[in-house]
Amino acid sequence: MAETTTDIVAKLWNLCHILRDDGITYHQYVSELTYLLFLKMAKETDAEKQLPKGFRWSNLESKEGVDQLNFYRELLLHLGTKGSDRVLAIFANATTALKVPRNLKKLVDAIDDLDWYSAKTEGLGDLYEGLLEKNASEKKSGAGQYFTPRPLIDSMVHLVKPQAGELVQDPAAGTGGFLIAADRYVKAATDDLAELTVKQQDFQIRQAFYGVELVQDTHRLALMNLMLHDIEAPIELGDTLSPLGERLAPADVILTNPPFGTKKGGGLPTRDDFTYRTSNKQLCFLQHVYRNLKPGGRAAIVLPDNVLFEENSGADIRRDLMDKADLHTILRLPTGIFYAQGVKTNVLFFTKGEKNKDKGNTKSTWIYDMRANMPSFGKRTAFTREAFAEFEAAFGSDPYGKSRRKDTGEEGRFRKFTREDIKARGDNLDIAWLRDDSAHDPDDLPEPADIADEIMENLRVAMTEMEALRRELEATS
Amino acid sequence: MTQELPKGWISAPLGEVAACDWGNTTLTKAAYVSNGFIAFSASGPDGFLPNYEQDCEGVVLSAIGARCGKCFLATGKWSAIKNTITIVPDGIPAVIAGFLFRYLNREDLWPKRGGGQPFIGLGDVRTLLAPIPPPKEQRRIVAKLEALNERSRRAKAALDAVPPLVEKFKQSVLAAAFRGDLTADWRAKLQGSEGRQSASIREPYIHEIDAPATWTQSSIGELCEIQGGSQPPKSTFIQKPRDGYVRLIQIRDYKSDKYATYIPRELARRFCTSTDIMIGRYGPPIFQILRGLAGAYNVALMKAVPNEARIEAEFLYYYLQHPQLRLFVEAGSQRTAGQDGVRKEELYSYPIFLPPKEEQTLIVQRIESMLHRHEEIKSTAEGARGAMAVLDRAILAKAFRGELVEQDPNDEPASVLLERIRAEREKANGKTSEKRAARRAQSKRGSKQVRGEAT
Repeated sequence: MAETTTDIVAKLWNLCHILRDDGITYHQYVSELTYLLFLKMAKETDAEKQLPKGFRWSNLESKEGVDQLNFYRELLLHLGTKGSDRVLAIFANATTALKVPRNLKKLVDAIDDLDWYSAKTEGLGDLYEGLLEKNASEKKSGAGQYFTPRPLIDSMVHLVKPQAGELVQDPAAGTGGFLIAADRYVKAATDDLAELTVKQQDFQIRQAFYGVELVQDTHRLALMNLMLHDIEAPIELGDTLSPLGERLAPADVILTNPPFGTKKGGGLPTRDDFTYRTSNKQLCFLQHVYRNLKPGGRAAIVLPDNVLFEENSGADIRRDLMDKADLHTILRLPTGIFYAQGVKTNVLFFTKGEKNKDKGNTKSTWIYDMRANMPSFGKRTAFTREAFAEFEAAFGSDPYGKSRRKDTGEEGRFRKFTREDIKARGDNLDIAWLRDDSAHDPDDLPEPADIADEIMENLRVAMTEMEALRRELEATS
Repeated sequence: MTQELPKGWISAPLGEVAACDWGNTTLTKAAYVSNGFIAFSASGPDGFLPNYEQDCEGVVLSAIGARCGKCFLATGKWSAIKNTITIVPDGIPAVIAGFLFRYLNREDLWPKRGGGQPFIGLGDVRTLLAPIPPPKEQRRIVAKLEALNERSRRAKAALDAVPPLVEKFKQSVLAAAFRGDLTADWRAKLQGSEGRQSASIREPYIHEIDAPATWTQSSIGELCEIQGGSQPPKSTFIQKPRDGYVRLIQIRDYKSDKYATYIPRELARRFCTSTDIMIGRYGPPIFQILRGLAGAYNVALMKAVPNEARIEAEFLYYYLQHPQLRLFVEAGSQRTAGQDGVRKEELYSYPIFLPPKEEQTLIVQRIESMLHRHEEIKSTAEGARGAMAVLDRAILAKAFRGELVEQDPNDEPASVLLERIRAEREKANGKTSEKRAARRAQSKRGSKQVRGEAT
């Protein structure tokens, strides 16, 4: 009897919990699903030619017990080395954490019952994203750095308003959150692409959304995530800060959240088209973004505080950005919304200047402080899209930041700073004016682990500054 | 200055490289207006005046009072009022103000005169020897110091944030402990899933507390007895230990031994040991939970004696530190304008959800291991913070020994510049006294001052 997709999705969630008790983490579970879903999908969409004979869904499904588990292991190994590019991308270095044949059977049976076409529209994609989110919140996995909270993504997409026909890029794609949200936005505006011509639809499915991801494990999750949302465009496995990044097609829209942290062991990007060489990864990504936009293209990028105040190359890059692009809005995000507590981040919204206009594009920058005097988000106070309501209203409906805006003055959250104001501050964009008066309501206290993380973050900042101080001192004596 | 100066540097009295003079002694803070040009007093740039007397960069020295020796960098259009000395590089400046400011802004640099009201004499300022590098090198030094300062400032700010965060952490740990979060895994192994229960507290601080369903609802009064303190008349107090006397413990003794007080043994009524749980009855801050001293205790303290058959002493010790309970007690005491301090009956009525003894012990263990580590982190951060202050001073010292930036042999040495200044001054010397008199007359009327030269 055919179950509805909803039932199957519920089953898969349930299985997830059962397997968790057996020690299977969210990360491992979502990876298992990736492999199995790919095989099933290939069958359903008549795309099994990319898989070597004997290593396809029916081969797996028809086996039983220990045989099935052993075959599964062999299949993963085999497909990781033979098959089309797409197959290799999914199965490279794939291993299974399943130890009990019964569990594999449950998974295979549940997926076998999936009606692929309705599954995609009826929640399979959501399930997948839901698992990714759970994965991200498991601190030990460190997977949080590849996952941007959905409310933040949705808000950024809502403000930037990607349109059908535009090239949308994420050079630090992670698990594909931004690209999927942008696709969702376009579909909602075009009656699920029905209002477009066939050619335009093809563009949306095959070309519009593209990006790069560095880490293999994450890359395969991104591929599957996109596939489940009917996006066939390529995500390259590689390093945007290498020559690969130079070859990316210029974009109409760039939405991204580059990974936090410094490049391990220092080191400069290996591409050499950057004007400003620095080992600070976020500053490098920023350079990539404003250089890789088409003239008139727009971007929204999540960056930590140090990008706003780092001196030397940081200041140079900020000046370059404000020359080549109109940095119209900065949103200071609350702490506590990312996996890494205490990390202070911002969203920079900017528009690349028109062709041949690469000086003086920024006349003024509006800054919205959503950091001071906010509730502590975390397990006890959910972080939802609601939190952005005031900001979105203040930002206005123009995706280029040109709506009429109101400066709320020193007591308010939204203020305008002219280019001269910023220059007078040494081109330091780390601007705050609200006093943080948040008293500690015991009901509002974050979890101990979250505060511990914030303490660590402060110590880390102190260490970073002291190390830099030391280097500056040594540079002379 | 006895150490050797780097090549190109020269040591010169301040009076030779800058115009040193008293600030305008006729201006006081009474002349301040709400908007205008910045004005410096001995406390710093703390007001505005309708006119300005200086239109250049300079250093303002606090010359009289508690903060004498502190310097401020003045730029743009400004004035200095009574009790200050202005040090303004003049003519062809041999020193840039920013460099001078960083050199001079050290309170231990200045010879201070006077007793009750310390001051710095103008003569001392003019004769103070300063190391003068070539001007180009001065700029490099200032730029370097600014960069280092930024880093140092951010490191210090990050470190300063740590102790309050550790406090917050402690509160969060306690809240989590008494919600049952810290031992959720332990209970899960024993009993699988569990429900919750809660109690609502009304006046004077409305809130809810919740706990696992398996814990027993009780109240503080059922689980411990609060015993007040006692003290004899003040006339019997002495400050040094003596035979036949015992320590009388007061709240402030938990912070410092400076106020140790002793009373005759036979007049002492209420005693505590160093492991007893003590409560500060009055504040601020009210309801401190204290431990660690032995002796007789006074009426500002109360002892909480646990019913050890039901509640572990350590568990009670931490429960009493629950942030919600403190707010509850505070709210209660505020109603009587703090006169009564902690109200015993109200405290007795406050609910406790009590876990089984074994779980109490486990909770205490987990609280302590988390807090212990974080106390260490706090000390480390405070230590690092102190070290940063020392580092800042060391960097300055290095700068003024010429070791912070490289010397450039192409820089024109400072001595050459000084010679030129001396020559200029000798030329202008004849006109100086006239100019000074004219300047004084003008400034009395509060109008713009002509920059003159020091003698």
